[in-house]
Amino acid sequence: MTKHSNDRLQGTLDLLILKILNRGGPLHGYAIAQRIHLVTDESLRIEEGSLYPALQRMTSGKWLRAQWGTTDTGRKARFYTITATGRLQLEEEERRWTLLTKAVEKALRFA
Amino acid sequence: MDDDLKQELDTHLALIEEEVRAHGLSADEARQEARLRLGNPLAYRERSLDVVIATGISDAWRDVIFAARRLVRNPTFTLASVLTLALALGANASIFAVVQRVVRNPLPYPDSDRLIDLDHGAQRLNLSSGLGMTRGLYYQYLSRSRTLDGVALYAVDELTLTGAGDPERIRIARATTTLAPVMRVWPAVGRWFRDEEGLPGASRVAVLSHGLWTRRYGRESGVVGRPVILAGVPMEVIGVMPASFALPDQGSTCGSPSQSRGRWVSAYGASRAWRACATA
Repeated sequence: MTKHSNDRLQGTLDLLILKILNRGGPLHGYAIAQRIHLVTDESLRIEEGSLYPALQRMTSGKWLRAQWGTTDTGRKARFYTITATGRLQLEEEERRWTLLTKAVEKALRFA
Repeated sequence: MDDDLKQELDTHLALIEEEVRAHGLSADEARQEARLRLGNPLAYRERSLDVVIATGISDAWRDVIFAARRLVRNPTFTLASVLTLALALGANASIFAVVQRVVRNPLPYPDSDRLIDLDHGAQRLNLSSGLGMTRGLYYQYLSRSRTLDGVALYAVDELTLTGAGDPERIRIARATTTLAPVMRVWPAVGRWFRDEEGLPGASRVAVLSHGLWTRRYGRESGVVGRPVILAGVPMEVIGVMPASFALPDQGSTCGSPSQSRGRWVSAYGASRAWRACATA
């Protein structure tokens, strides 16, 4: 699966989704958005619709598996679960993220 | 696919609305807040579809590259299958070409099944055919026929060509100006006769056959406008027919060059028989 090298924010979103689905699943889009708010202590603001292209991409890339189901209020929604490939990808993304933040920190301290 | 996404986004929107209503906002305010939090559903649907297409294309391309690599690694197998395919395709193409030329379009004119050879006979003389066409009848056909799209006549003759080069005895065909529209073949170089050039007294013009053009004029494109002298009568060359063109006359198919002249020669009497072709 190819990643756009210039899409840093996209990569971050992928990381969040993978992490949340790794903790527990299956979840639908709204639930994932709720968890993001919870986990980041409301400090991250994203348009919730932007989750869907990311979810679609990760499902096509076999990082996630999607299944239709019903919510507890009886609405139709797709539920996503992380796959084994997805877990491997999560480790990789976490490693990259840590490297990036360390590098940026060093640069900021230097300047 | 788009329906699935629409469903997902609708559900998400509804769930946000429910949550916001639980905090005490009115229905309208809830809907506004939900829309604000979700963003533009149509935009996200489109982006998701773009993602699907992009991954589809990149996956397909990777499969192609992979297959190519495997084929390169197994040259004998690749060679065997390519030869088999080539043989099959070649056989197919040949059969189609033969069927096309023998069954479907045997004459070298476009839609040759619409061409009809018009011939006349005389019942009282016990002649069922062979009289050909006369000029009078031609005009009758032109003005009165409802089933025929066009009528053209031509008559073949042998004349001496003089002028640049040695004198030569060639076969020519005098034809009505309707011959090209009826056959639907036009000169490859220059132009066909205009209708006025078919009337008596008009300037004399000629169209060369491809064979004559190649043999005598070396395929120069400057031949248009040059004079040729046929049986002592000077004429201007106005065009050259394409190599594939031949008149449906047994005499002129043995490779001899033919020329068409769009002029009624008054030396021919009215009883002169003409061969006729017509389209329906």
